[in-house]
This record gives sequence, structure tokens and C-alpha cells, in this order.
Amino acid sequence: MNKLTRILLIDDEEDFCFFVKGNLEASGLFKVLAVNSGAEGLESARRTLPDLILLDMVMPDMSGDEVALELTQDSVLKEIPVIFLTAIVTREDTGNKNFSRIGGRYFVAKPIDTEGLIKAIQYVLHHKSDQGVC
Amino acid sequence: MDNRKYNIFYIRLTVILVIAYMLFFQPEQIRYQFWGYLYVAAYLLTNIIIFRLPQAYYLKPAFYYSLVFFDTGMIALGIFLSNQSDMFFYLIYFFIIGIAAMSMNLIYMMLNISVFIIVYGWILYNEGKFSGDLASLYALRLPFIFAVSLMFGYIINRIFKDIQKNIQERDDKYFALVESINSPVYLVDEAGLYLSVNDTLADELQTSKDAIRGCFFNDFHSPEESAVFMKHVKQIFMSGASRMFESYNPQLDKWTLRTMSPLIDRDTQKVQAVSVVSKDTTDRVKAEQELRQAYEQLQQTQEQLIQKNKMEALGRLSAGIAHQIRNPLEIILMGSEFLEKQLKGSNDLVQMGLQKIKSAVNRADTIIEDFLKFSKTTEFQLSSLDICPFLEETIEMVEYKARKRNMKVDLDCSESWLQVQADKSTLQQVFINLMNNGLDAMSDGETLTLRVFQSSTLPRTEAEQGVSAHSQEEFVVVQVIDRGEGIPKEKISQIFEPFYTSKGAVKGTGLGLSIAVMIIERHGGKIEVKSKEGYGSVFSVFLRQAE
Repeated sequence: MNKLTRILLIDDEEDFCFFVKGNLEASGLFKVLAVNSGAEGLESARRTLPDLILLDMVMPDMSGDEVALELTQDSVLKEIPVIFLTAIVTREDTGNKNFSRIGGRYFVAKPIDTEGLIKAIQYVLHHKSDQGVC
Repeated sequence: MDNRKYNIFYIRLTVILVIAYMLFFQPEQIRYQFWGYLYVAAYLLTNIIIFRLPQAYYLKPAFYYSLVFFDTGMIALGIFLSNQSDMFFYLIYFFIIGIAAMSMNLIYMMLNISVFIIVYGWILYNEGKFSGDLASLYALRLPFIFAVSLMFGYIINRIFKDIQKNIQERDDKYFALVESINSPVYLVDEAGLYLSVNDTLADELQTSKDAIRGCFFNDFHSPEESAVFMKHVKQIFMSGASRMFESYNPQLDKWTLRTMSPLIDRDTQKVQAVSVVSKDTTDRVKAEQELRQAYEQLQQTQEQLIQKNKMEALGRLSAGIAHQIRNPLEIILMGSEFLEKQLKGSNDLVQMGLQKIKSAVNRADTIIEDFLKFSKTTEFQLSSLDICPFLEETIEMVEYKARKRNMKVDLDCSESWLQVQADKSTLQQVFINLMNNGLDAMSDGETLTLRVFQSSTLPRTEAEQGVSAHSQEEFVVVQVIDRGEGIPKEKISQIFEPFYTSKGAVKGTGLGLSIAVMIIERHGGKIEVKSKEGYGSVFSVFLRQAE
């Protein structure tokens, strides 16, 4: 059995996390840990060292930006690729693709279907070495 | 005035008839019968001659004095010939009254009476009245005539002088009033001849008052202004009513307001002349025009500002709403996918229901997508764009949709060299939107037309002939012409409002046109629409021409 890709999902919407976790895990490719705040997310990231982090942009305690900044300041955590989930970018911004890369960061526009999200995750993992260049 | 002539004629005729009666009632008493007939004939002849004299004589006081002087002599002669001076003494009172009536000049009148007294004295003496019992009685008649004449003459003379003084005073007041007005005031007759003018007019025309009298209105004014002025003068002569009009002299760049009133003859009640008070209103009219322009501009700016504020508010709002709605939408989408997986193998109805939920989420997301487009301030990259190739390229993007409904998009691009200043991708968005709207409005198999030309070839409407600098700028106009159902008149003003849609919720969000307007306005252009229900619509996009 292949080793499952471990994903840390940081999003303040519990229900969203519930379904994303369910959908991603149903594909049989991922193991998802979902937390509902930025602080919890950082703590979990340090503890579990996931393969990829899905990070919500807008959260009550810390914004996705702030979480990402802390991640990049940690010599270990900065290697973990991050995909931002946001409702603010338009499909046009992402070039009508499932995700886009703006300023060295990957963005996925909400709402996204599971298939699109999986493709984005696989793409980012595949191009892991590009992360953090800019 | 006409009556004077007849009055004099009939009065004299009466006098002649009375004397003729005196002469021929008791012919046996007459001393010189032949002279009597000759006298009456001569007197009648003079009356006819006087009647035949031109009107002008009757206006001269000297004529009346001469007439009184002559008639006094004639009547005295008649009494002498009738040999009845005694009996017809009372007739003398008529002379006295007649003469007194002419007593504007008292000395002249008394001279006249003196001559009469001498003649009368001679007649009495000739008849031997100064001898006998009644001699003193006859002699007293002479000073009596003198005294009575003097008394009546003096009274009437005084009354005349008072009346004259009053008239003079009134004239002086009016004269002072007219001269004190710092605006030209004048009287003109039906032909526009100046009858009377004030100093202000003389100053304005840089000539003397006497020089102006005898000139016509059109001697000092342009033919156009004169024509308008004379039209009003004629109207006043016809109607007798005052009127007011403002006219413009393009040569002098001057506005004048004229208040015109009829001068009505008291006797005939006819309009004699027209009095005019004219006022230079150039400053006021110009100020009014400027004010109106400023007001219109302000109104326009205000409308634009309101529209802009609305858009900005909507932009801010939509970013917020997008985020707030997209999160729950995401949950619904993920949830339905989750259920899909969990319920795999359940009945088709459940799967169908889940598909419907997903497509509803996608629809909602399309609306949010539009919202966000609307709120985004994308960087503009203005560059010179060949409009015709650009449109050909853009038409290709909707051609698939058109072909599906067997429709065509025609491009009329005779002036293929035209270039505009534009950001290509946003401008494309605008035309795709306009063409989609046009195609949606028409039935299957019809043709949508795009036409390109310069704004200078467009016939200007009256509103556009105004002073707005905007309308004088050269634009490239692209018209999107559909033969669809058209837009109802009352809806025209709404179509550019956000959220207005005629397509129903499934097909459109109602943001397309408001986004198009926003984009074109940012290009420094505008979108105009003309539409007729049942005939179709023309959307004209005005774009700045590339230099």
C-alpha cells in the first residue's frame, strides 16, 4: 500500500473541513488533519510535519498570510508547500484553471470541486522544488 | 382735427345766412341793395375758398386770428348795409365772445376790438344816433363793448395761460423723468421713424437728438434686428397691447430687452406711436447662460459622482459578500460531493438531486464571479488598437454561440484605418457582453450588425450642439445593432444599473452592462443606447481615437 500524503487543512469553517477531509480521504490518496484556527494550525504543523498545508486566507485569529509568514520563518516548516484557499480571487485571476500562482504562492479559488483540488495538490507536490523561490 | 374745417365752415355759413336774412327780410329798408347781394355772394365765396384750403392752415393760430379779424369786419359791414344796426346790436356779443375765445394774445384782441368800436362808432354816427334823446345811451355802447371784451378776454386769457402752464409743467416732469432714465427711451411711428428720443439714446448712437429724429430704426440696427423690431411695432399698432422682447445682435455680441407700449390718441383711440424703453441685458443673459451651463455641468458631475459612489460601494460590498457567500457555498459543494461518494450505488434520483445542488452552487458562484470582476480595479494597459481587426477577433469569440442558433454577426468596417486608445482585454469583455446581449435579444437565424465610423459623421442632435467640450472631441463609434425586441422606453434608464436584467436569473446577473459602462468610462468614452420596442436596439460605444 502506498504511503498516504499527509495534508494539514487549516480553515475556521468546521463543516468545510469535515467535507474536504471526507472527500480527500475518500480518494484513498490522502490522510487529512483538519484544524480550525491559525494557532492550532501552526502547532499541528510543527508537531506532525505534513506533506502539504491547505491554508484558508481569512480566519478570525490569524490570517492565512500571518500563518504563512510564521511557517516560512521556521527553518523546517518553510519547506512544506502551502496552497491558499480563498474566496476573494476570481476564476479570471486563476486563469480559469483550478489554481494559480501569484507572487510565488499557490492559490485555489473557492468554491472548488474535489477533483480540482486533488489536481492542484498533485501539481504543487510535483513542483515542490519551485516553492519559495520568489 | 378733421372736424375743425367743417365746424368753421358751418359756423360761418350760419353767420352768412343770418346777415342775408337781415339784408333781405325787409328789402325796402336797405340802403344799397346791389351792394347787399354782392356782399352775401362775396362772403359765401370766401367761405368756400377757406373750406378748400389745405388742412395745415387750420393748425396755425395766425389763420384763426386773421379769420376773426376778417369776419369781425364782414359782420360789421353787414350790419351797416342792413341799416338795422340798432336792432341787431345783440349780435355784437357774439363777436365779443368769438374774439375773446381767440384771446391767447390779449393785446392783439383789444386792438381788434378797438377797430371794431371805431367802425361801429362810425356807423352810429352815420345814422345820427349821437344826436337826440338817446345820444348818451348810444355813446355808452362803445366803452361798454370795450369793457366787456376786456373782461372776457382777460378771464379766458388767464384760464388758457393756467392750462398752458399745467401742460408745460407736466411736460417738464415727463421730460425730466425720461431723461433721468439711464436707458434709451424713444418714440417711433408705424414705419420705425424716431419721433422723440432721450439723451441716453443720443449718447449711445453717438449723435444728436435732432439727428436721430428723422432717422429710422433700421438706420442704426442690423436688418435682422430691425425686422424683429418692426414685427413687434406692427403687432402693437394692430393690437394696442404692450409687449416685451429680448433680441440678440451677433455683430456687437449684445442682448437688448425692449419694453414697448402703444401711445394712444385720446380722440380716435388709435395707436399713434410706440414708446420703447430698451435695456442692455447682455451681462444678465450671459450670466444666466453661464449659470445654466454651470448648473448642467454640476448636475452631470453629480450624477456621475453618484454613479461612481454607487459602483465603489458595490465594489466594496461585493468583495465582502463574495467571501461571505463563497464559504458556505464551498461547504455545500463539498458536502454534495461527499454525499455523492458516500451514497455511491444508491438510486439515480439521489444522484440527480445532488447534481442539481452542485449546479445551483455553480450558478451562485457565477454571480459572485461577476461581482468580483466588478469590484476589481485591474491595471489598464492603454495602447493604440486597430479597431477593425480587433472587432473581427472579438466576433470570433461569440461566433460559436451565434452559429448554434444559426445567427450571423456582420461587421461594417469601411474605415479600416481607425485606431482607438484602449485596453484590449477589458474592451473585448465589453464587446463580448454587448454582442451576447444583442444575440440574446434576437430570434434564431437573425443577423447582428457591428458598424464602425467617426463621431464627426454622426448627425448631431440639438442637445449635443450645446457648449459641452466633450461633444466636440473626435471619437470612434462602434455600434452594435440588433433587430431584437427592443427596450421599453421606461426601462432605458435602468439598463446600465447594476443588477438590471431582462434575461431571467438563470441567464444573467445584471452586471454585464454596468461593468461595460464602467470600463468604457475608464477609457474616457461613453456608451449610448437608442431603442425602439419591437424594432431593436443600437448600442453606440464612443472610444477615444488614437493620436
